[in-house]
Amino acid sequence: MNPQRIAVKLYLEEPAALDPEELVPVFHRFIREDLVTGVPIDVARYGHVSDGPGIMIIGSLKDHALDLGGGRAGLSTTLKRGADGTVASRVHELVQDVARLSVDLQADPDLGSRARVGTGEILITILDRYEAPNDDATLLKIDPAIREVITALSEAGGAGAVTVERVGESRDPFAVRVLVDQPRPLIQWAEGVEAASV
Amino acid sequence: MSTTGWRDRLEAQMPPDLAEEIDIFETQLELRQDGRVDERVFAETRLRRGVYGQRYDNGQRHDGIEQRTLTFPAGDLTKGPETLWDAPGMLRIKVPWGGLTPIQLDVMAELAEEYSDHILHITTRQDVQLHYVHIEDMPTVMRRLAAVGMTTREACGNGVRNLTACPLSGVCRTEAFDVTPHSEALFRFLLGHPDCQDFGRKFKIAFSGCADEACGLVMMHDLGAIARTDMVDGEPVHSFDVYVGGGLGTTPHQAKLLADRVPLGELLPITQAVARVFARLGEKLNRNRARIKFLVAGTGIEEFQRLVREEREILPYDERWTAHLEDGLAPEVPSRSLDGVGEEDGTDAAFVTWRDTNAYLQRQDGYAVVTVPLPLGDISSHQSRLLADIARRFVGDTIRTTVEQNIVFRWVRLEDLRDLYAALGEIGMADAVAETIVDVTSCPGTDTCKLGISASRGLAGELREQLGAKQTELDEAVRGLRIKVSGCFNSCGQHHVADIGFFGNSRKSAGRVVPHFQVVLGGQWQHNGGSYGLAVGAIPSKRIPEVVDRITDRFVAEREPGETFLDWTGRTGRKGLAAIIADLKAIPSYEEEPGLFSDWGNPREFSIGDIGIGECAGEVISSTDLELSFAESIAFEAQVALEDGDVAKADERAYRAMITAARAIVRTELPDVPEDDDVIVGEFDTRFVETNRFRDRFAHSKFARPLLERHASGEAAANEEAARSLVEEAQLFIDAAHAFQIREAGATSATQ
Repeated sequence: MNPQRIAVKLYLEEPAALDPEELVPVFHRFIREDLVTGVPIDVARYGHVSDGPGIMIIGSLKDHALDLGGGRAGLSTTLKRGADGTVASRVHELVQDVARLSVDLQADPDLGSRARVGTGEILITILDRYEAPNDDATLLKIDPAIREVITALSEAGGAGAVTVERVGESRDPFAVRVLVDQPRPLIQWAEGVEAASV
Repeated sequence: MSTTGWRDRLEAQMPPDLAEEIDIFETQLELRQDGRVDERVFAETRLRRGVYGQRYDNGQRHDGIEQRTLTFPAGDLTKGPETLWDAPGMLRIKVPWGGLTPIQLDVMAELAEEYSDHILHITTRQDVQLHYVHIEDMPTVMRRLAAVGMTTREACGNGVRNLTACPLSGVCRTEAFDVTPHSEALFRFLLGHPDCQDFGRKFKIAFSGCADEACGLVMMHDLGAIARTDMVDGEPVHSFDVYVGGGLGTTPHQAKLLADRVPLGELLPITQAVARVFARLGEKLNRNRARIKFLVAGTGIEEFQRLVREEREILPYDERWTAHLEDGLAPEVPSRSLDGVGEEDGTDAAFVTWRDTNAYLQRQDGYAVVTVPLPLGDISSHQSRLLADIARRFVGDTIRTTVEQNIVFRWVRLEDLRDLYAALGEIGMADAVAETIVDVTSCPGTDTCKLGISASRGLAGELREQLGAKQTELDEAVRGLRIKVSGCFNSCGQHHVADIGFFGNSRKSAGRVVPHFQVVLGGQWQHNGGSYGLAVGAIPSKRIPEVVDRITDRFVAEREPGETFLDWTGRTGRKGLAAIIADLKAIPSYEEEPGLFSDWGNPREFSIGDIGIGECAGEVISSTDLELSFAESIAFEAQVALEDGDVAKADERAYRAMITAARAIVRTELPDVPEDDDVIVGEFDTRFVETNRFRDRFAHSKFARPLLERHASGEAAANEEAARSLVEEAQLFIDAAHAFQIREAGATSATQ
């Protein structure tokens, strides 16, 4: 299995506190200040679409978003092209990306600490129905990579007990939800994520 | 891996002609990456497959402070002039007459999720667009579409674009007859038709079932057909009034009547004749004058009619002209009742409001058409899947897209309306805004379009929000108005036919650029877009909501009993209308009102530096160039087959490459040469080899001989050595065809 397109999402703790449109000027500034990876190109606004991709930084290699998919607002980073390394290292890189994005937004003065991000739940999606249909066989194949990332993160960040479950229907892209028993505060968790090696 | 994987998995599901088209395109991609196809030729090749460039694909973006260079991984490799390879682009999917099935919706949702930005965008011409797709993913996306009967072929470029039709066709209360089977037949007939490959610009066709409603907006199309029924000897006789030469853009033209009462069996040939006249006489060099409206205006409609009649007389007969009249389309199957609560239940005010705005009673008793409004034409992947499920439950395969960027369900049982309303509400798609002033239409504008000047989607979203908030307070006469927004003068938002229209432009003030919209009032939506609005002045973008308020307030205050907005604007006149908004034109200093110097939904200080080279029409590349390019692709496949040790395939591909190249040469003199190898080789031999015109100065007839000999013998290469020889000769033959074309062009120009 060699999926190219993988997304990692963390959820906002208080989604109602943040109007997605508030992210538009912030994301434009992030592009200007080179704060995100993946050859960022522009900001796309889909806040008017319920259950949609929200406000996005569209990139050549990666997208970053305040993602409204699944009816739950969160921050996501999607790897689209140029993947190298193992599946585990790709997932780990994306977790690092979304952790940095979360820390930056949580600390952003224009958002007044309203973009609070939880670390107790991570959604990992593989956007490749050929390589990774949403079934148990894919889960079996992908599980070792997920465990490798989780182990690395646990050692570095002390995340506590972890459960991994496949979510969605067979027609949806393959996705797993990683639930953490004792989630750490974002900053502390992000430091651990940054330090972990896969 | 997924690329070849999908091809193998879907091979049996794809129509062979589409599958081959996509294979050729994929080979062209490889050749372009190797620098073996010129970027201009490749650009037209991809445009003719619906693969468009997007904003910033020249690698430049103004970040609000300064111009920045985007550093894409593939460096300087291009997919067209000033269009970088790695810059994501748009794919336009044709949806002929707007017809969709749930499975098609499912597949497009998957593609949006895996290759795009999770959004399907419905256009003002009933297409679906995916944005931010990488060029190398396009063949796979096309294959997955082809497997469910969809194509992107000729969705862009200088060809016949998507064919649109009224979404009520077949169920409308005022139509003459159902135009759907005729639209489908014409769409299939013209797709890839040789007579439509040498246009100087794009060509748009629309069908209407009646003359008085907006219906298919025939009057703003290059060619349109309006259904009519006459009683002849007491019997109803169906026919079409065919119009030609309409168009919007900077110089909008109303279409003119080409021929009335065109018998159903004559529709395809008369369209073919128009295409041939346009290809032959239409402007090729100046793309600003290359639409058919300029040709018709130049010749006059009477002369154009004569040219078409003359062309029609010499058309070789084609059995497809009338085949659909016998076969037809399978009629839509009315949905069965789900034993719903019943639409007569009027206790739920929200439901009643929704029913009054979003449901249309069909001609057939007991059924309705329901509009599912899509804000700015957008629907997410997840919503699309859920909507497809709802369609399966209530109406089956009878979904259509609309030019107002919505989706309609047809054949909804009246007793199921309430359940459908509830189901749509659960996925956030039951806004009671259909055909109201709130349901603003917009082209992509500066969000993604290379030509966009102002943020049409930003403005449309703002107006939608502001008007939606006060929808119930609006005067009845205002609620039914239409607002349409274009990001520039090219009019993709169709602002000319709106009651209140806007198109983007800009003005300079004290060294800074201010985004503006030109205000266009009093366009006619009815009568197939029967007249265009009056431009009354350019206003800073941020003040446009104030423009809408002032105009609608004045209309309500001044309208006479029964007076329409169109009549009121006509009575008030351009001068009177301009006076209402005149004071809004003044531009204060940046220090006084900095917000005026950025656009809706985009906080960057406004700049026109991001405007790129439009690909709306593409470069004018001759069909000979394109066909020779395809021949090269096939020759390349032959080389690959040889490397794989597949001698039989290498031989077949090499031979096919030569046939394709020979056909390209023959078609320069015999446009109607059939897809028959004997005829192609015979004509090539007679016209070009025997006359020594294909003769090379040094190699003489050497390059033509392998084709003639391989064709005459009919024998495939017996071994790898023979196949290798043929593969090499095929490439030399194509090179010789290019050289021949250059010689002929030189000879032609020398005699002019």
